[in-house]
Amino acid sequence: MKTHILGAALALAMLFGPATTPVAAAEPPPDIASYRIEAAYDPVSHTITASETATYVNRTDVAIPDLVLHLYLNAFRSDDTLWMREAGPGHRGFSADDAHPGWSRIKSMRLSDGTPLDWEPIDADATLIRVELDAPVPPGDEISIELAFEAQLPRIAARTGWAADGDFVMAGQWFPKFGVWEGSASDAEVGMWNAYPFHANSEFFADFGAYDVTVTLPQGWRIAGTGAQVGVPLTNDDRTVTHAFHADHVIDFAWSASPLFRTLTRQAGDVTITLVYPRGQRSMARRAMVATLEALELYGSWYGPYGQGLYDTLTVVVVPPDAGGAGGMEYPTLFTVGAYAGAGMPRCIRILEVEVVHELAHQWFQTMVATNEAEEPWLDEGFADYSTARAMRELTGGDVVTCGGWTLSYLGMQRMSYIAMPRSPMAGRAWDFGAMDYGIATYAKPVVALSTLERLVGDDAMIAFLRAYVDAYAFKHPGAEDVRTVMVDTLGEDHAAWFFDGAVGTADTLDARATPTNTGTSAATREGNLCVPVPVQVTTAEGTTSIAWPCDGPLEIDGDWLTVEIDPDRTNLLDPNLANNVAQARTAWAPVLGAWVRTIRALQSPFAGGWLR
Amino acid sequence: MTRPLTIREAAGRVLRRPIPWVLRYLGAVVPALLVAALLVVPLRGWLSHPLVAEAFETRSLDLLVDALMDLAEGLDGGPVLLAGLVLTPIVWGGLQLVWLFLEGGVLATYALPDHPTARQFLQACITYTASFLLIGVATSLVTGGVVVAGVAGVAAAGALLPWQWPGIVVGALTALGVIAVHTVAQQTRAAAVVAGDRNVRTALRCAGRIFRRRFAPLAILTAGTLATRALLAILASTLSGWIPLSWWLLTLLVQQSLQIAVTGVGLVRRAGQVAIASSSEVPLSATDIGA
Repeated sequence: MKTHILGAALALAMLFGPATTPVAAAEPPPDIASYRIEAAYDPVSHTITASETATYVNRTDVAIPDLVLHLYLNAFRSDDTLWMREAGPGHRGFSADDAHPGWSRIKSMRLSDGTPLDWEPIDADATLIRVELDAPVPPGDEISIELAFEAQLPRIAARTGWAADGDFVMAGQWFPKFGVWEGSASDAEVGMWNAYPFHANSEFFADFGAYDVTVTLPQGWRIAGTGAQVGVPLTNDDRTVTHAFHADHVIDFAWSASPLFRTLTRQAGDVTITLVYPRGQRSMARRAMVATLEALELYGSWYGPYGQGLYDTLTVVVVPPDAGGAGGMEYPTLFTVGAYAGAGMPRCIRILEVEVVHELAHQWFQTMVATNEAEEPWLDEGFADYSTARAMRELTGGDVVTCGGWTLSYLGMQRMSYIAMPRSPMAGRAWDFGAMDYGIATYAKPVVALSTLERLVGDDAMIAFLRAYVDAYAFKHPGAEDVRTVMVDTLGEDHAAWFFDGAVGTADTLDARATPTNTGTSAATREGNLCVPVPVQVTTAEGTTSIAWPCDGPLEIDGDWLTVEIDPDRTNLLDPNLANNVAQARTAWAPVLGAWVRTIRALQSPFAGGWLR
Repeated sequence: MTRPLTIREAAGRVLRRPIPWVLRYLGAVVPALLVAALLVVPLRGWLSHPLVAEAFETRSLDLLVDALMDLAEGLDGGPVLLAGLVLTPIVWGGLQLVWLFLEGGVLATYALPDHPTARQFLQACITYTASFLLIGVATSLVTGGVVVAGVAGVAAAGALLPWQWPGIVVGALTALGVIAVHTVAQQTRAAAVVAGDRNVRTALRCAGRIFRRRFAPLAILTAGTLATRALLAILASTLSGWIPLSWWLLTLLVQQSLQIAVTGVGLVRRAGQVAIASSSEVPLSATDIGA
């Protein structure tokens, strides 16, 4: 309650108060993949016609023999693509519209000196193409290609497309984009280019670079995009307007536009927050803005400044009600919300706030600490979702639902999912999982495992670990082994061992159980190979004592105990059954009678005829 | 000509003639005590678990989910629990018929100049049962229609309009509609008893007339009793949140005190509607009302 009130006060202060202290920017990372794109969007045909200059700098010590580009939109070109087959009838609850597919076609491609280039699809759906080069790109050198392409955006089902009868567009994964060239052999399907065909569960992986993008739209349309708008929009003779954007040190560029957009703007230190929302969703927009301001402050205090001080804009897009598939997605300096939070969502359900703080956390975990979402999806989703649980705890006391006097925290929600399928390893490529276990392996189990780690090591140590991870790998591509190294350095080998060898890499689980035996003793046993050392609390007529219970087998408790409770502080949330952690010698009748009395109350009113009796 | 009954006098009769109050209170609480026991006793092992107690104490769904993991182990007496679950709707349905049967006697108690005898009470119950059953069925159908239309309206407003307020307005109007339907139905019953005429059509016409001509007192009576009920519900919820689960006896005393008050409020509304009906009718004798 205290934190809730403080949080509300903080939000008000940020909404109406002066800007906070400026932040010193970090050393800028070197550009690798940069793009200059001139695009025009036709909202009637939902097509983008564009020219693109894409530059790739070889910062490895291995020559690049060819180029690999993603054409993500081709995943939506028919119902028999790999993506569509994997997604089945719906992707995260949203279905594709066969009548309005999406695709991307390259019309021409050449080197910057005019040499034409040939390309061929790598996968059957052409979500990935290989570009032949006459000569490899030597280490330290760069290559620029110029291409013309046309893309049709699908009706929104997953992240990208149009909705609201064409009056809303969210353009994500819309332009031909380089894979990531790795200087050492990887297990990706195209040699040392880390790039995969677009899978339904998979998100993205890209190098950092600079983006200069212009988007031409009909007059009256408003636009929001990655980075900052540059100059004044140019009005053209054909009743269109060209909007220019520039973004540095980012891994992607997304934009959204609509003639229905309204705008809220707030300043948080050096960061200008712009929130665009469709007409009629002002109350949602205000809630989203408050959550953004509060969480930005929190994450900054935990993980260091937003963009390490290199980003000064943050854009939030509230999607219209029929564009839910585009909501809840992160892009550099921009995220979308509204996937699951309808306009009529009561205030006692804070799903909108959860969505905001989760997507904002991605600005650290993936946008800046750019892990591979295809090969190790748990790294970004897991750390972002753990941050969500932390932030919700700080901002609202942890409660996502507070209806009818009952509460449900975000950690509780994710633990509920974890309990449903506790035997899911977190490690695995996105397409190794089905839709259900993907959610558990990449979101729920990491939240539960990281929360267990936090309870074991304490909040300060946990923050020190996370901050060290962000500082070490901002604007880089760390993998799980890098996280483990940071964990060993900050929290010690023992914690890293159970976390990575148990929770991350295996399906092992642990059910600690206190069982009264027929000899008057009680036994504490562990079922499963995952072991997190916890104490056992024994209460006798004389008092309560705590016994250490290391991972060395069962524990037997003799004597006239009243209760035996394993892990009384509920540290180990990976234990899928916390209820059987307690054994009692006798039935406690007071809570039973209490439940009886409350059941009487629940029955009495309807029995008497209800409210209008 | 005898002076018509005032609402204050009628409310006074609720206190001075406590039989309906006792009947309605005991009629609800005794079955609730028994059915609750059937539901709780088989779960005593689970309910006595510290995690379960904490879940209910703190109203934490986080803990309740964990507690449910152990529900099967804490269950002792599945058939008894099943019997409790099956009996709950049956008892509910049976009691609604009992209330319907008693309604004529309850209204007659407040309508008659003197406290009715047990025979008069029973006779009034029997006389109006069929009519009140018809009114009850009609009320349910009309209420169902209003609710369906309201839900459709709220859904349409949510789907077609970008604003939230039309849905809220439609929802509020639906709630008002349901209250109005039930008020008219109750006034019809009161009018029937006061007029001593169990003809539903006649009583409904009378109620309609009262609804138009005596709208202000009827609305104040309905709103006042509903507001009092709401206050009692808030008080019950607040106190229930304050009192620890293990203090079951105090909880029982507080909640039953409030339930007795709630029952009384419902009876005051009935007595008030009898008074409103009597103000537009000739005075009654015991014979007139069928007692």
